[in-house]
This record gives sequence, C-alpha cells and structure tokens, in this order.
Amino acid sequence: MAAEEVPLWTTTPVSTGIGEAQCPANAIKGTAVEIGRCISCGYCSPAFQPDGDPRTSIIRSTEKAFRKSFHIYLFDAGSCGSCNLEIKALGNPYYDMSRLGISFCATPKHADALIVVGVLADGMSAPLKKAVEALPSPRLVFAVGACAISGGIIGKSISGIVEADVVVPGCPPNPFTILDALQKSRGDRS
Amino acid sequence: MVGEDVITGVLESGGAEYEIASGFGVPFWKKAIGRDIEGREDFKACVGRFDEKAEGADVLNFTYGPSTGGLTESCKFNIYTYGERILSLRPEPAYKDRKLQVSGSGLEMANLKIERYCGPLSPFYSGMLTAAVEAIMGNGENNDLRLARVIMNEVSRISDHMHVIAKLAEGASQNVAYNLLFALRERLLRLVSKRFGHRYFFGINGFGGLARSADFRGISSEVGEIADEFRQIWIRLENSRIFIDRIQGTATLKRPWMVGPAARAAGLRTDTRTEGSCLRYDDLDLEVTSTTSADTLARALVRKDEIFASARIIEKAESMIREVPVAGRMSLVGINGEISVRTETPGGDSLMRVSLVNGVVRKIYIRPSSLQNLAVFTYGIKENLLTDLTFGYEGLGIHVSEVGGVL
Ligand code: SF4
Ligand code: SF4
Repeated sequence: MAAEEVPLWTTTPVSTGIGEAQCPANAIKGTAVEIGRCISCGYCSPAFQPDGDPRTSIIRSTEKAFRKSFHIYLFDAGSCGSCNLEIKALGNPYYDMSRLGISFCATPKHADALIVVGVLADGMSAPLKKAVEALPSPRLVFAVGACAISGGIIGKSISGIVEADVVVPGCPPNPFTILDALQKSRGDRS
Repeated sequence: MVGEDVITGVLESGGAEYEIASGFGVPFWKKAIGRDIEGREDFKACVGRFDEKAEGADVLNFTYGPSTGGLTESCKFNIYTYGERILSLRPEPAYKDRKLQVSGSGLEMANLKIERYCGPLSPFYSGMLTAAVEAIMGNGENNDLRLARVIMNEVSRISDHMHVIAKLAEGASQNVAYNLLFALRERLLRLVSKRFGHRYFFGINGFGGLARSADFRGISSEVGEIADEFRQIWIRLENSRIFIDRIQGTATLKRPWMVGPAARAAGLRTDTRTEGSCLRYDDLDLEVTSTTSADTLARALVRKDEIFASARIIEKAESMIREVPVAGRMSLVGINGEISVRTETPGGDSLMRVSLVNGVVRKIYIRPSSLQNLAVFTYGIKENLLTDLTFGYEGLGIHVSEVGGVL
C-alpha cells in the first residue's frame, strides 16, 4: 500500500494548532478526534489534517477460529451506498481478500461475521435482529462506517440492536481500513 | 419525446401536493393530485408505490430480501411465478429508508447530508443543492466552477457505468471481464482519492466554490487511459455469446416516462445535460447516444458509449478550466427563496426543489432517477425468467438509497 493510495480524509484528523475547527459531527474533543464520529468531511482543515494512516479500526474482541477461513455477510441497515461499495471492493484484484481466505456469503446463517453498514433505518431493525440471531457461534459483528458506529449526521447507530465487536471508522472507511480490521479481528497482524 | 401529460414527480408545496408534469426545460406543477392518477403507471413510477401481483392456484410468491447476499443494498422483492417465468414483481424499497432529515438544517449541514443521500452519486446531488443556493443568492455562473463540477460528475458517471457493466459481467459468469472492470473502477476511485482527498467526492462541493482545493491538471489523460482500457475489455465482452445471450431481450420496456440510459436505450433521446441541467454543457461537445431495442443489452450499449463520451467531455472541460475558486466559509445567513434544479445522474434525470428561509432549509424535495428505473425493472421483468432477474436489475444501475427521498 502506497501512502497516496489512501483517501486522506478517511484517516484520523490530527491537530495542527492552526486556527479553530468546527466539526459538523461533534467529533472534535479539544485537540483530539473521536474517530467513530468523524464523517471524513475535511471541514476541520487547516486546524486539523489527516494523518494518512488507514489502520483506524477498534478491535473489541477477536476470534482466532477464523484465521484460515472467514465468511462475511454484508448487512445494509440504512446506508448511502458507499460503505457497501467499499466492502464489495475487497473482492477486486487490488485487495483480493480471497487470497487471505476471506469470502462473501449469501446468508447470515453461513457467516462468521456480520458486517453492518448504515444507520439503523426503522424498517431494517427487525431484519438486523433476525440476522444477528441467525449467526452461528463463534461470530463477530462489525460496525463499518460512521453511520453504523455513531449514527454520523444521518440517524441512529446500530448499538440499540447489537454491540459491535469491531468498529471500522470512516465515511466510508477505505478498503485498506476494512481489510486491516478483518485481519486484526481474527488475531492476524495487520 | 416525453409528453407534457406524463407525470414525472410529485411535489408538496404550501401544504398541497402537485404533479410535476414535464420532461424537459423548467419543470412545472399542475393540479393537486386527485384519486384519478393513483392507478397510473407513470404516477407509480415517480412515487415508488407498486401493487403488482399475480394470483391463481399455482402461483408462488417468492420473497427476496430485504437483505440477501445477492443485493448490494437492502430492498425487498415479491416475485410471483409458476416456478420459472416471472408473472409479476412487487418491489418494496422502503425498508432502508433513512428518513433523511434535511428540513431545518443550515446549508453546510444540508450539503453534507445531501452528499450522503446517495453517496456514489454525491457530486450530482451536492452539485444541485449548491447550484440552487447560488442561483437563489443571485451569484452569476463561475465558468471554472462549472467546469470543475462537470468533471466531477462525468468521472462519477464513468465509475457508475463501469460498475453496472461489471455487475452484468459478474452475473453472466464472465469472471475475467468482471475482475478487470472492477480493477479499472478501483483505479478510477484512486485517481479521485488522490486528487480530491475522498473516493466519493465527499466534502468537496461548496457554495460559490469548492470547499477545498482539488487537482484537475492532467486528469483527462488519466481518465482517457482508463477509458481506453475499458474499450479493450468491452470488445472481448461483446464477443462473448454467453454475455450477450444473458442480456439480450431481458427486461425490455419502452415508456414515455423513462429517463437516462433506459430511455436512450428505448430510442428516447432525452438527456438533461442538453436541456435544463443546472450545469451548462453546451460548449462541451456532448454527444447523446441512443438505440432502440429497449432491453438490458441496449442499456449496456448506451452506458458503454457514455463512458467514452464522458472521457471526451472531461478532456474538453480540462482544456478550458483556469482557476477553480475555493469558497472557504461564506456567509449563508438570511438567504430566502425557492428554486428547482435538475441534473442528469448516471441513471437519468433527477430533480431537486430547494426552499430556503433565512439561510435554513425549509424543505428539499428530490425526484431521483432510481425511482423511475425501479419502475422500469418492475414492469420490464414481467414474463422474463427468474434467472433474468439479476440482469434486469443490475442493468438499470438502481441506487436504493436514492429511492428514499428526504424530509
Ligand atoms: S473531518 Fe469532518 S467530521 Fe472529521 S473531525 Fe474533521 S470536521 Fe469533524
Ligand atoms: S458512513 Fe458515510 S459512507 Fe457509510 S453509509 Fe454512512 S454516510 Fe454513507
């Protein structure tokens, strides 16, 4: 991964000490940024500048059983469509997650991990509950993107239905960040 | 041509509902809605309410979604069939409706929300909002800003069209072409990321200028290389009988209310960029392609041609661009007014009506192209086989997030 391939504003903004920042997502706390709230808008520039490091995920629990084979299911709870595309991009030849034994599956019943994107739309609450219940054990739940993590500027997070084991910040998180999170969640190095 | 009696949208204003009854030029509103139009196909196409059903002793109702591995975005489909042929299909796109609240927002927040109304199409929607606000403020057109927005839109169009064709190749098990196309699209997104700081143009479009500086120099040659590589992939794809067989004759439909590539594939030479767009294209050598077979193959052919047309537009726009203004934080307090703007998204004509009171959004109404395209799928897929579903749906490039509208 070359630095210029990472979309800068999906990485963590850090204080430059220049001027004042206004954050539409209330992600800035003093000189730090609560990355799960950040919507990658760049409105805090020049007071903050992105650090360029895509390894922003927060891993709350890991599952080593998935080290050789990892089936993931994408669940759209109410997204703008971009998080979905960044997850699907993991299958393209640039990221090629299949070389790492990671593949998409067609139902939560066959999934090791539920990858949830988007805010919790009213109509998707019941389907999300069902999807979580359908997951076999062991399992992991990922909240991918500001919407799923915190609700961003759009709506409610998914935390009312399920607590995420892995949090992948960004709006949308870039595929490097998502792949890094998938690897770490099964105890692999980034 | 779309006739004046075709309903292309429904708008609430002053507590009453009005039909948007035009296809070209400045949209106009006519009579408040009465029950007489509820059953009309074009009315259903613009509001997304479908009651298509089939009944009978042996009719099976399969439900697909709202969340399944085959769909990129959540949407539920009720499919009525005897087991092979689709008798009827009823989509329920509202499951993931976020009820995106824009009314009451200040303009910068509204712009951030509108970008996220449909992320993959963010420059089109934020481009409409910013153009509407600039028009209400009486700002004259800034040519460099116009050209910058044209370039962003056309790059997004190429990305969206490539995605649609890649999904068709995937459905037809053309795995080499599918992977090459997805790799090519990834290159395009990386080009956008490098030049604009974000793969989907979030945070870029501002009022009166770009919200941060972006690098347009040399963009057309990079896009041109991608378009050339796309041409090589397409030549092999169109020589694949398997690929052509799956999409030829699939989801055929020709209706006067259709928009975008679906309309142009049905011989309707409608393109908002030639008339009525909030962005002028008259000096950019836009060529509108159309064909007549009105099926998924024809839609793919139109999208293919539009990839090359967009690359040419980007080249022309880059040759004309000088210095793109960066707006910084401008005062948007105290602006009042109401205006309609339109743009040609990759899926077709989309309309936005913006009403502002004191620099705050009173109401934004959006009539997106995906609503019409969902209707094309609903009516066009009848009598096709269940195995044609993927091709009918993916060939229309529907964004479910776009169907939801805003509050
Ligand atoms: S990028 Fe936007 S959301 Fe993130 S900290 Fe800066 S202003 Fe806040
Ligand atoms: S986090 Fe951002 S990119 Fe992802 S769904 Fe929400 S608005 Fe879209």
